[in-house]
Amino acid sequence: MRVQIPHFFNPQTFNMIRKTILIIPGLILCIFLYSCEKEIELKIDESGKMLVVNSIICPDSLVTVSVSYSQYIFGNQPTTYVANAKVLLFEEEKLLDTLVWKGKGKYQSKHRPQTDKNYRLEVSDESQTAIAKCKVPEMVLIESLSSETIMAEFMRPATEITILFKDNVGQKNSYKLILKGMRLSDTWPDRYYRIEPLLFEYNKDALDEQTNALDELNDYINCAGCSKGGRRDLVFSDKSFDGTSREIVLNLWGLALEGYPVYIHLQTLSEDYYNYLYTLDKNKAKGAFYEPIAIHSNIENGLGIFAAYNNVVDSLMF
Amino acid sequence: MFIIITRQEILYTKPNKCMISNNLTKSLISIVFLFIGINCFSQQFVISGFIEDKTSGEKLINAHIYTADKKHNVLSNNYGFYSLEIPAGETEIWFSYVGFSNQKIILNLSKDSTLNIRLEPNIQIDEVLITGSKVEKIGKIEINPAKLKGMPMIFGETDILKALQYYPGVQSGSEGRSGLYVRGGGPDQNLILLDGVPVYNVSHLFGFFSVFNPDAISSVKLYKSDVPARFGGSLSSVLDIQMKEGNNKEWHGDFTLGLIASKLTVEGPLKKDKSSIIFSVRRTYLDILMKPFLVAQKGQGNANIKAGYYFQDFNLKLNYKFNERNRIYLSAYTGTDKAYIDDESSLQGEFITNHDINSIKWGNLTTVLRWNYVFNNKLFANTNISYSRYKYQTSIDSKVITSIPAGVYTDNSLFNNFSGIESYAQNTQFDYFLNSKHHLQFGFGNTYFVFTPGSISYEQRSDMDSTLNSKVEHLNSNVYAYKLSLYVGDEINFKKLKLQIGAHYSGFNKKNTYYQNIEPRLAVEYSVNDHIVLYSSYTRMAQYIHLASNNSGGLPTDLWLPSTEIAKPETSTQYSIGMAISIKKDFRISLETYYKEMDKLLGYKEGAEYFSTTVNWENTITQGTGQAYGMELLFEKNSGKFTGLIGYTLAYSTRKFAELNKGKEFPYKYDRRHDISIVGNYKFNDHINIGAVWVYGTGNSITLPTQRYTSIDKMELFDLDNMGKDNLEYFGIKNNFKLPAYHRLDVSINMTKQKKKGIRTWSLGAYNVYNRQNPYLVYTKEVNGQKKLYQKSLFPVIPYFSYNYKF
Repeated sequence: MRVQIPHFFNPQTFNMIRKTILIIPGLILCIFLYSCEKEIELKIDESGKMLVVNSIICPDSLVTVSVSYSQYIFGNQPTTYVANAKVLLFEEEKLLDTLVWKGKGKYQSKHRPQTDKNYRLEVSDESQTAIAKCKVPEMVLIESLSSETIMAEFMRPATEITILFKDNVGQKNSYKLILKGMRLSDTWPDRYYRIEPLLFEYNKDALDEQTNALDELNDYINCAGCSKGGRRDLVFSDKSFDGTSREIVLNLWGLALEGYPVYIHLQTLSEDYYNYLYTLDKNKAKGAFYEPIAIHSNIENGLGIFAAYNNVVDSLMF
Repeated sequence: MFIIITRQEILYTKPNKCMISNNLTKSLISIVFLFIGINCFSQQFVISGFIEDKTSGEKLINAHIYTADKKHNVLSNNYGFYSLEIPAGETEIWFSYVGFSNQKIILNLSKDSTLNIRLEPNIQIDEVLITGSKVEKIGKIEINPAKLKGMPMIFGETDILKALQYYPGVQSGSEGRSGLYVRGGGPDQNLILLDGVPVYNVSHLFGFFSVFNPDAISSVKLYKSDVPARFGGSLSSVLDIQMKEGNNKEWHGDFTLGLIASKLTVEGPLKKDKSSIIFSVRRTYLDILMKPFLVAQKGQGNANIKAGYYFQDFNLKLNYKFNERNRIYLSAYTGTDKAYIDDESSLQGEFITNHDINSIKWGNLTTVLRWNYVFNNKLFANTNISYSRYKYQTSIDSKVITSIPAGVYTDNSLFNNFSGIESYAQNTQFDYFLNSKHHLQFGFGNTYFVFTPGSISYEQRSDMDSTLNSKVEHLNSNVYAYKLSLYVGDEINFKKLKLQIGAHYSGFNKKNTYYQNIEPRLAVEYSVNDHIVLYSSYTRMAQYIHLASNNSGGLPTDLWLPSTEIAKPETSTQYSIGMAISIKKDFRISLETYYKEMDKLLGYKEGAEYFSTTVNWENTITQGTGQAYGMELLFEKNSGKFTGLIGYTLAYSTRKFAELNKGKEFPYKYDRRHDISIVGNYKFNDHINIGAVWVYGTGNSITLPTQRYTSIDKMELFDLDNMGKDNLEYFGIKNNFKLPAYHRLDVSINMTKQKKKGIRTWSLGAYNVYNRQNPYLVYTKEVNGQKKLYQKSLFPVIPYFSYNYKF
């Protein structure tokens, strides 16, 4: 068993320190800001409703598209789905299908997308047509998997999983890694085991600089009895290891359940999908001390995202 | 030799003994500048010397020296030295300076002579004569103590930076933000020099006060365009502030007791007419005023909280005149702002005591040793060696004291985060007054920078468990850089035409990367008649150090950073054209238009975190271009019972970054379309004057969402039935809205009385008289399920009084 040396400047500790630092200028501001708040009115155009098209496609699933309308920023309505839209799917510029309304804003095709093919989506309501394109990326293969039980920080036993895969040469690739396994569902009174994403953590200092990983793609999720949480996925790009084999080491939050497999999903993302997740991640951390960010969209005459990923799954038995 | 006509003092006159070296230097430079048509055919002689205040010995900067026919004229340089070539025979010479009586002498020169002049202050400002063709252009704002006197006092003093912000083209950003915003540029694009040393942070208390104590200042010059070749290193402006030298005749002092701050200035001769000293201190007592409120807090629990904020300044200047040719100066400034919270509380029946001291502290330290040397009556040299530092530090000192029968144990942790910039510099400048047509300035400078972009240290000590003792330092290693400057410039005076031509070469080295720029400067000035002057200029500037500034808070945590492969040097090119009209003796109208292009401007990437301790600063920034253009109009009345100005600016400023706003152009945050200042000061008599200032500015640009829409939540990708909520905001273009306009009115009344041993002044007034809530921060908030837009404001109406005594 290997013991991981506690490292004071881990991401969680740093975030704690950072927040502590912010308290001080924050307190100074409070001295001045207290009692000087008032509501203001700026002329923001209440019209300008736009079509919102959201669809992430992969060869494992039928193409599904969500169509709705955007609403005035200070509006208080629930999402307005578009029930009478015409949703056309083109493959390599040939009409493949007209998607069928499935309710709650969903339109579904009877086709699954194919690897390395180009797709175009045309969504029309009575007055607007939104168009978007994407290409399904190639998948990459996991070369090897291994695991080890270690003592993680603060003498906490954990399962360490090492994943080795080879990045495709000459392509700008990005990835999403998800671990799934058997977990006890806590939804009382229905307590049962089911396969769901597992929480994990990774050595941020080592990984960030090399893979351009998104820092806090998921907020740290607190779990019962834990002083800190893990993450459910890891998104990163091949910026620094294009065309080479890459090893990623992750620690499960705790030990893997004995007698059950852990599934490793390695998704290759289209560029638009990565940019969307990137901006979504940055958008979560908004506030006075962050620069505003516009969420990436590849929908012409509309908002949302039409993107693709390809998925490879492997498993480790414990 | 010469005939004294009016009040003047000729302190020293002797024939020039350096004719040989003078002629040699003259010949060399004549060859260099042959192309600009230098000629010296008629017999001419040179008068040169220093111009100073008769009562204090203070050197007068930019005093105007001219012949009655205006064919020959020159301005004294930053050290009060002048040199003027005039024809042989009888010539009438005038010496003039704002706030002083003009003096005239008639000379009949038969050889070169030295003539030191002492001008007498004119107590009656309404008698001040502003004479001649010394045009005050909008592109170059000059403020000297006499002009400052004509401006309203706020909080008992006339703040230098606030006074500059009354002039067109100079903005304050917005309430609570420090620094100057000149012609569409950012606060880092100004080179601010105090006695020739750069000052990196110029504000106290979120821009409410500037770090420059007006009692210690002798002259202020702000160049927005038409920047002389000797300056380089900033895109938008150069602010050249000179400290007083100190009275070398007699001891004087001045103290002010105010509601927020108090200050004391003392000056006097260390050796009469040879050496003098001036020092000035200032401190606020907000921290002391806050104490009663915090004691009230104590009653609510067992916590004992002390918190406060203060700033303090200290200026010092010494000078010593060895002889008529050699003089040295030593000046220093240090200023500190500190905010702290000292929180002590007890837990579990007083067994455990927590004691936390959190503080942030920031400030400047500058010091310069200067040597003036007069080679001869045409060549003057100034050499200085200087040091400047800006440092910011956050400290969190936590103690847990456990008192149990076995003893008292302390667990202590100390966290420090600090950043800053230091510069060590040498500069040598020569002023060569070649003849009545040419005033050359040339020189060189070397600066060594040390940047500390942000370092963290953590130390833990435990009496109970020594295994927890540790010390960790996470240091962003210092970055070192070197800058070289070489420059040459010539002021060429023809009868009606004046040219200022020059070039500044700058090189910047960081590790093995060397950047360089040649920055040409050209200014043309044409006097249509005695009242109307037309002028135009071309200015190119380069900037090698950047300020990574947060966009929201205006806090002192902004980082100064060097040029790197990712943050390349910024450059700007500016064209301006304008005219100045003087009506009667004391009323002026100036109009200037400008167009400025800026390249490699620094901006934060979308989503960047301003206070990140984990992300390298280079990963958070991006570079782009900017454009600024506009028109500035100024009506100014400088003398008489009523003095004041009306300034108006119409301005446009945009930015374009490949990585921002989808690569499309967007308005700059401080794109202020209209900016108006109305400043008035009325002097009823020698005892009472009243002043008022009203400022108005179009609101700053802000990025606000206009629509909400649904996302694909990554957690919900596995559940297509719940594919999202209306949780995303659509912004459209960056900086797509304007905040409400900024405006406020300040008033003051000053009552002065001559006492036995001095003059006392009571100042009463109010800042933001009609309690305008100007926006500082705008945000959305959900109230009763409805999202609304809210703003925070900083400074409501603030009445004040102060007591000043001059002795």
